Amino acid sequence: MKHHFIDRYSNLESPIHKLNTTLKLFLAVALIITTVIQSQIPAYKFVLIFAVLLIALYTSHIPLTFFLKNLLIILPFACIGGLSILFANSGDLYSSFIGIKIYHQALMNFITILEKSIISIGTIILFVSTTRFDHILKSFQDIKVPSLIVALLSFIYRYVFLVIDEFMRTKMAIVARSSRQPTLTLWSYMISRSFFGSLERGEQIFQSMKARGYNGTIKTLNNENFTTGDGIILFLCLILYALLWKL
Amino acid sequence: MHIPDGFLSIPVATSTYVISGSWVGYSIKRVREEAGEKAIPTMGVLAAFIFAAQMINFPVAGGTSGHLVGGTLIAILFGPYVASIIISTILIAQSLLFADGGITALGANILNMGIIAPIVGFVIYRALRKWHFKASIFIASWVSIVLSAAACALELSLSGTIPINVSLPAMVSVHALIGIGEGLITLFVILAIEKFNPDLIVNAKLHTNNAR
Amino acid sequence: MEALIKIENLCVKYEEKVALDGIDLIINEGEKIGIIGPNGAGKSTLLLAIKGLIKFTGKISFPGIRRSDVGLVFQNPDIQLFMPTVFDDVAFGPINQNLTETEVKVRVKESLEKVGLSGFEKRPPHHLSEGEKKKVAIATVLSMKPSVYLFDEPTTGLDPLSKYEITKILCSIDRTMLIATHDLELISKVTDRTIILNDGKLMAEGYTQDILTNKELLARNKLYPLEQLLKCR
Ligand SMILES: Nc1ncnc2c1ncn2[C@@H]1O[C@H](COP(=O)(O)OP(=O)(O)O)[C@@H](O)[C@H]1O
Ligand SMILES: [Mg+2]
Repeated sequence: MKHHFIDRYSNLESPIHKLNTTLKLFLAVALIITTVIQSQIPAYKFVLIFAVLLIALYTSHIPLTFFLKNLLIILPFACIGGLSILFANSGDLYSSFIGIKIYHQALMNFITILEKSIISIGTIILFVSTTRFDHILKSFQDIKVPSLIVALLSFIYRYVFLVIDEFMRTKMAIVARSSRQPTLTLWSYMISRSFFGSLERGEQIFQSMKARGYNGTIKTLNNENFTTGDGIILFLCLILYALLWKL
Repeated sequence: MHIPDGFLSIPVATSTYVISGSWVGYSIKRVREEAGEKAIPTMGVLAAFIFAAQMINFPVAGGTSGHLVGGTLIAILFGPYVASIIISTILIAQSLLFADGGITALGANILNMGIIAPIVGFVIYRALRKWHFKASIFIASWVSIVLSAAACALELSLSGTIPINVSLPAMVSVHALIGIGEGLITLFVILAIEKFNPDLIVNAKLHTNNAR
Repeated sequence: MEALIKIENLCVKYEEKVALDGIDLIINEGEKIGIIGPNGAGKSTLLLAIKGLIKFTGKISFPGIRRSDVGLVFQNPDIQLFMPTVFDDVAFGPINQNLTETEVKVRVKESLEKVGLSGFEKRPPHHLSEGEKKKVAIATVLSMKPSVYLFDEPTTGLDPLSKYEITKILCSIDRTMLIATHDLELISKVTDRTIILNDGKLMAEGYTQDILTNKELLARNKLYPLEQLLKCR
């Protein structure tokens, strides 16, 4: 299956996990943006950035295999479109192999895309696996993401497993009663049942929220502070990013 | 169709962010007025439902399988504003929880799958449903997928990443096939929903009182 | 004794189905009342109506308290717990009561302590066991310090140990409460007074002791098997 939830280790305790969420979000997004706006990334810079990611990973106690496995699972999906870049016809011929011609410029472009993808995906995996999803939501609230979007994200996170379980149970019930695999018609029935189930659940959750004083907005407490440690990390990372891209 | 980080130029990434941000912001305002307090719980469980449905592979035809995107499905049932908000939120969740779709490409991904797809699907369904109900659903979902793939190709070529004469034929032909799956699944699900509750298909509003 | 809730001629209709039909009931301060009845009798509907979450006809008045002082624990914890963490869920009510941040945190801590789940703050509800979910659901209402508690099937579907623990929690709550259930053991341990609902009507009202020993009455209301228990083996 293509979908792997990459927040499996977000509950660990580590210096990286303890960092302020908004700070981590900012640093991650800043790294991704500064990476993708480069026209090309020399090999030594790529190695340097990847090393920084690995150091952060090591500090966060997240298994290296988890990180690499997810990177390798996600990367092909990201880069499949990039293959056409590799075979583009432009500039000097670089090499020709059993009739497939690869041009120098095309190869450079492809490598750049690959480097950018690895850094971006690696950064996201690192951020999400070192930050609890509810903290990400609170950080979104702080940076003024519309409250409806934050609330929907919170509901997705809370109820997606429940819906998947329901699907699986219905599927097993169908398979148990007929020897054949379910057809499109049967799947559609399952989906529509689950759809009505969801609407009914929405109605009941609305009652349950009303019963506890809900009046249109979800309010939460944000327990995170911006500590001196966070400040030092921010300062160091900004210097690091500047060095990375200006040297 | 999820564009990763690094495939878009700065102008394309920022302008799609602006367009998507404005449309989603406007949709939120409309939905808040229409659905009020119920917006959060109802759309929340619907978003979880579509998110889960997208993760499931369906048997389509001839041994192939596909999965639902759901933009047109939600647009037909609840209108394009609700659909835009739900699909956009799902795209945000996917870019975080699965690293599927880039952070810097989120504006473009929302534009293609969360805005173009539901609006196109909704408009075509509304225009054709009097002529032929079933065909209108299939065509609406098929075109919505193909057009959002075309938009994706256009953004990639505008960014100078992949030339249009490569990206457009490739994206459109692949998604013309994927669109058949989307069309069939959407059609069958709507028919099943209609069997349980015909009113829902007619009303296309976020009123859940009649849900049962 | 002072009446906290007065219910007069309460009727509820879902589309065609009459779920409650002319219920009269007075709930006095400090009383613990069991509401028993078979599935579909209208127990949940009665609690929802008291909390004002569904449309009804008749009159429900709250002399001395406000409706917001009534706390309802839903039967299904997946409905009760809708936030991403236990802390956020238990804090949801107190925050809406506009308490200060410190007060909210104290309430959360106390409530989780009371249900024996201290330290569960960070856990996401979907990773809890069924018994833990039920206890957190109770904590989400405890944290609001209501004057009257309404419990909907607090022990249904739980293993014996969880049942025992929940019974103990309910015993420890020193407030007026209504418990809708068909767990006769639970009400015999917790409540003084019991009413029987069947098919939307109030069939009997009295001391829990008297009701539970009246096997004929229970049997008539599908709460006790009519014949002697079958022995299969
Ligand atoms: N939302 C609803 N719509 C229609 N009928 C309902 C609804 N909720 C409950 N009912 C019906 O009302 C009756 C009473 O239900 P309920 O109060 O849930 O019973 P209990 O909690 O005692 O099992 C049942 O026959 C049930 O089917
Ligand atoms: Mg009930």
